[in-house]
Amino acid sequence: MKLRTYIIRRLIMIIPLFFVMSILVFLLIHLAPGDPILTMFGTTTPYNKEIVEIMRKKYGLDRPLYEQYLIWLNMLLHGDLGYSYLNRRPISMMISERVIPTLEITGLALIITVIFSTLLGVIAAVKRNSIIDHLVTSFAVTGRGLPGFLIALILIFIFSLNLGWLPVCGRETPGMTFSSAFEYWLDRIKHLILPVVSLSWYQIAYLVRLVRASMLDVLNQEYILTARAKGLKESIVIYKHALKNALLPEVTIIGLYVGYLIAGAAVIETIFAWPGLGSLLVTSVHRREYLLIMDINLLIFISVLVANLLTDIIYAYLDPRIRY
Amino acid sequence: MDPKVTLSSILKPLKRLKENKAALFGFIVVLFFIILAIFADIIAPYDVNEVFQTRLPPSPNHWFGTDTRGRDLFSLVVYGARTTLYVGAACCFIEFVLGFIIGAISGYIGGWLDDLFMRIADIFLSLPSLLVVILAVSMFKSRSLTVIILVMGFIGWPYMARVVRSQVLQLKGAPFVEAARAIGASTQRILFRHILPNIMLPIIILLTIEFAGYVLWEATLSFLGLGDPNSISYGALILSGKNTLRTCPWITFFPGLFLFLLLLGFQLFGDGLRDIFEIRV
Repeated sequence: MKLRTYIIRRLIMIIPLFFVMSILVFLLIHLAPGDPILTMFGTTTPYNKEIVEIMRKKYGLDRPLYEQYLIWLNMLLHGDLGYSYLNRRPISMMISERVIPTLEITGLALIITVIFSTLLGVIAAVKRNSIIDHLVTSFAVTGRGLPGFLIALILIFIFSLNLGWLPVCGRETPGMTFSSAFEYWLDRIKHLILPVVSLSWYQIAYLVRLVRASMLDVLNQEYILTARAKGLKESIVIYKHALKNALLPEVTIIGLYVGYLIAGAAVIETIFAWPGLGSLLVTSVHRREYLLIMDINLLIFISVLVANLLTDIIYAYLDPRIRY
Repeated sequence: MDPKVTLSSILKPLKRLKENKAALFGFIVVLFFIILAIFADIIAPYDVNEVFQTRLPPSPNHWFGTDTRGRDLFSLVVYGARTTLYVGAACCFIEFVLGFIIGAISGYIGGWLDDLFMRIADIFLSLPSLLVVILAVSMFKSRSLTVIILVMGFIGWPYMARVVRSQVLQLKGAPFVEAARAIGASTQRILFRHILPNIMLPIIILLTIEFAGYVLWEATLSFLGLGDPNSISYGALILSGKNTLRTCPWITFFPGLFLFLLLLGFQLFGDGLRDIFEIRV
C-alpha cells in the first residue's frame, strides 16, 4: 500500500470516531441529573423563566433525544459552541483565547520530554553500569512515584518560595512595564520554566526507561557487532546504526503521550494559574457549566485523535511494514 | 504459560523476589501500607475529628504537626492509607469483573461482539483517561467516594478486557478446555471454572500495576477539589497545604511523601511480579 492510500484510509476512519466521541460526550451530559438549561445558567445566576423557555426551544429540548443530538451537532459543525451565561461570553471566544497558552506549555513539554528522555536513555545504555547509568536509572525509578502536582509543589517550594528565582504562578507579571522586548520575553520564559518542567518530569522518567531498554536491545544485535568489527568509530555505530532503530518504540508511545500531556496540563495549569484550556476545564467543572465542559472535552478528544493519526503516519513512514 | 498453576510454581518465583531488590522494596512498602490501613485505629494517636491548635509544626506530641483545620497530621496520613487502599482495591475489583466478562466474551465467543468491544476499548485507550474521569465525575451532583470509585472502575475496564481476551484466545484451544467442552460443560462453566483459575496470574499482575493508577487518579481528583470532601485523601491533604507552602510546608510534605511511597511501592512491586513470572501484560 502506498503511503498516500494509507493516510487517506486513516483520515476516513476519523469520521466515525468523531461521531462516536460526540455521542459519548452528549450522552454523558444528558444522562446527568438536572435540567440542562438551568445547569447551563449555573447554580448561582438568577434567571428569567421566559428566557429558559426560549432557550429550551432553541436547543430543541422539547424534542426527542436523537433530534437534540442532531441539533447540537448541527450547531457544532457551524462553529456555534454555545454561550456561557456565567461569563456572559460566547464559548468559542473563551476557548480560542486559551488554546495558545495550552499549546505553549504542552508543546514545550513535548519537545523537552523527547530531547531529555532520548539523551538520558541513550547515554545510560551506552555507559551501562556507570555512575551516570545509575543516576539516570534511579531518576527513572523515583520519578514514577512523583505525579505532576507533587513535582510542581516541590519546585515551587524550592525555586519560588525559598530561592525566589522563579515566579509562583501566571503567564506574565501583571501590571509590569518592560523597558525592552528582551525583558518582556525573559519574564515570559521565567513563567514557563516551572509548569513545563513539572509537566515533563513524570513522562521523562517513564520514557527514559523505554529508550534505555530498547537501546540496550539494539546494541546487542549482530549488525552492531558487524559495524564494530568493520572498525567503525563507536560514535558512528551508536548514532548512525543503533539510534534509529532504538527510537521506534518511543515514536509509538509519543502519540499516546500527547493525550497524557493535555490531561496533565489540566492539573499543572490549575496549580500555576496558567490561563489555558485545562484550567478553564477545571473551573467549569467546579461551576458545573456543562456546555463548556462538553465543548472543551470534545475539542481535546479530537486533538488527541489527530495527534494519534499523525504519529501513526510518521510511524508508517519510518517503518513501511506497518501499513499492511 | 503452563496452564496448571501449582503451589510450587508460585512459591519458587517468590524466592526470586529476594534477589530483585526493587520488587522487594515495593513488596515491603505495599505490606507497610496494608498494615497502616488495617490497624489505623491502633496506630493513629488521635481521632481524626479531634481539633488542636491549627498549623502546629512537627513535635513529639504531633509527629507530623497539625493541618489547617487543627487535626493531627500523622493520624490523618494513617487514615488516608485506609481510604487510598479502599479506593484502589474497589476500583480494581470493578475493573476485574467488567474486564473479565467483556474480555472473556470477546475472546471466547468472538464474532461481531469481539469487534464491537475491542473498537470501544480502542477508543477508550486512545483518550486521555484522566480527562474522561474528570468529565464523568463532573456529571454527578454529589461526588461521594462510591461515585468516584464506580466512575474510575468503569473507565478502567479496557486494559483488563484486552489482557483477558488475549489469554482466553491462547487457552481456547488447549486440551483441558476442549475436554471440558466435550463432556458438555456450559460456556459459563468453562470460562469461570476452567479458564479463569489459569489466567489469575496475569490478572493479578495487571491489577497491581493498575492499582497505582487508580490511587493516582483519586489523588489528582481530590487535589483538583473534585474528590469526596468527606473522605481523608492524600490529594486533598496536599491541596489544603498548598496555600501555606512557605510557612507550613509539613502540611504538604508528609501526605506527599506517603503518596510518593505508595505509588512507587505498588509500581515496583507490580513490575517485579511481571519480571519474576515472566509475563507480559
